[in-house]
Amino acid sequence: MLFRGVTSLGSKGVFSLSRAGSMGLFLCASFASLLTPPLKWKRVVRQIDFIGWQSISLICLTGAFTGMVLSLQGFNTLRRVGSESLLGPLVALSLIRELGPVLTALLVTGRAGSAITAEIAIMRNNEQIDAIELMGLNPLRYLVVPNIVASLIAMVLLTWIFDVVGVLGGYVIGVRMLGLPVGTYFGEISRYLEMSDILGGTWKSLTFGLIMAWTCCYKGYTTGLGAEGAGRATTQAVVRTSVLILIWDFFMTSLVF
Amino acid sequence: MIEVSAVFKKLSGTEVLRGVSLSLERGRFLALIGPSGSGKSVLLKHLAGLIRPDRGHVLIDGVDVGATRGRDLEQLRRRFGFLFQNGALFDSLTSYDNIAFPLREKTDLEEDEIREKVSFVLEEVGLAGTEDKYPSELSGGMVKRTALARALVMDPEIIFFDEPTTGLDPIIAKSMLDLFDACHHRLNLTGVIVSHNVPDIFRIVNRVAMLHDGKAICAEVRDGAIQSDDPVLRQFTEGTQEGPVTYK
Repeated sequence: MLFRGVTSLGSKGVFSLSRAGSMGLFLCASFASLLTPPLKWKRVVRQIDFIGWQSISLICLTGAFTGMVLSLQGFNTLRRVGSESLLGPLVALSLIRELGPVLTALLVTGRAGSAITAEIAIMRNNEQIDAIELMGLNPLRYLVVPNIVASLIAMVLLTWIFDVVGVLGGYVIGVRMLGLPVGTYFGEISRYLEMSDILGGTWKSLTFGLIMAWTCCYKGYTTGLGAEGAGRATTQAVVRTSVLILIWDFFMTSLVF
Repeated sequence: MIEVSAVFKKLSGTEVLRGVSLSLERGRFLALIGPSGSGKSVLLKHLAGLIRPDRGHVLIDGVDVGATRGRDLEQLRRRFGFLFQNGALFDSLTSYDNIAFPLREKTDLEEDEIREKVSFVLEEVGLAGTEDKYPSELSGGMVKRTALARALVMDPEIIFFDEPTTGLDPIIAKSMLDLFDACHHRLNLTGVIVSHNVPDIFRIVNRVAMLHDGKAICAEVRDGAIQSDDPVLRQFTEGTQEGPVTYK
């Protein structure tokens, strides 16, 4: 029984490694296609619209309420230690360094990443990807590369929007509702916020954009057959991307900050 | 022109092809028939280079398709047209853009030259006037004819059909077969057709290969009739339960 358990664990481990290797090769092939012209700019723009522009209202809404709740919680906590004046930096730094990139990435994964996986999975099941291959064309160039480029651009822009809206949300609660002077709120932000914080958050969002596009495209590309296969691929894409983002966030935070 | 030599292929642990061998000369059509699950579509995808054999060779004019990679494979595929079972049209493109897609991506033709070619092939398949329709707006038969137009627009030498009449009513199915026959003779194509449409398919092919037990049983076809007394082939094409094979 022990031998069976060890064998089972071993084969699961080998399977996971094989999957990881396959994902790695997929990423390398995608980058090779990205670096070889031509880039399908029309499709990139279309995907920026889908991933970015169509996510703006969701990002603004979530950013605003995140900033507001941070401000509310933060004010109450800082008041206990007599440091209400630091509310602005608390909200801004928390958003810019951490919550902005992570929450934006998770939201975009749920909204756009799942749709990307589903679209590619359906194309796989309907043999549209085979059709592209049989025309002597590289399917990665049409399906994956535009999503990677668009995701990198959109994720950074959406994160910045999230941060700005979040800071404004924090202002609404901290200043308008709780009575902190507006000069204190923004003045302390400009005192404590550094370019390295903004750059660090931007680097995070870039890598999260890559993780999302890579994982979601891979899962769609390698989907199982039928509606069940496509459904499973979509769920796995969102779960796996979310987990990878959270794990990678830890490593990025250790490296960058 | 096409030579399949002792091809073996295992998929998901099952050996689907166990030493398939067949050949087809230039300008002739071959029907690939057999029970469901016998590996017809798998074999067809081997011919198009979408699947590589575990053992054996698929040769097209002496070039081993399974061993060809990269640019050489791209060049080889330019000689192919492929009609997928459900058409495989791109949902987000109109009929016109679907057919124009390979021309825009693989040739240096100007847009008005592309328009001329697309209009010509649409006329050939009897779909003039449907350029602006999306695949979701087309009937089953129209989808397949649009897909055929896309397969023909690059002037292929060899065309592969994967169950082109499945799901179509008898009248449309017959008109599709007539269309394939017309294309075969007008364009001097070489073709391989996977079909369940037995015996109607024999009207338009020169040769038949039946997949049975992972191998191919081949025979010539003349005037719509199989020139073979092979009992397995006979039993299948006549659709009888009596014979050497038990069908469940």
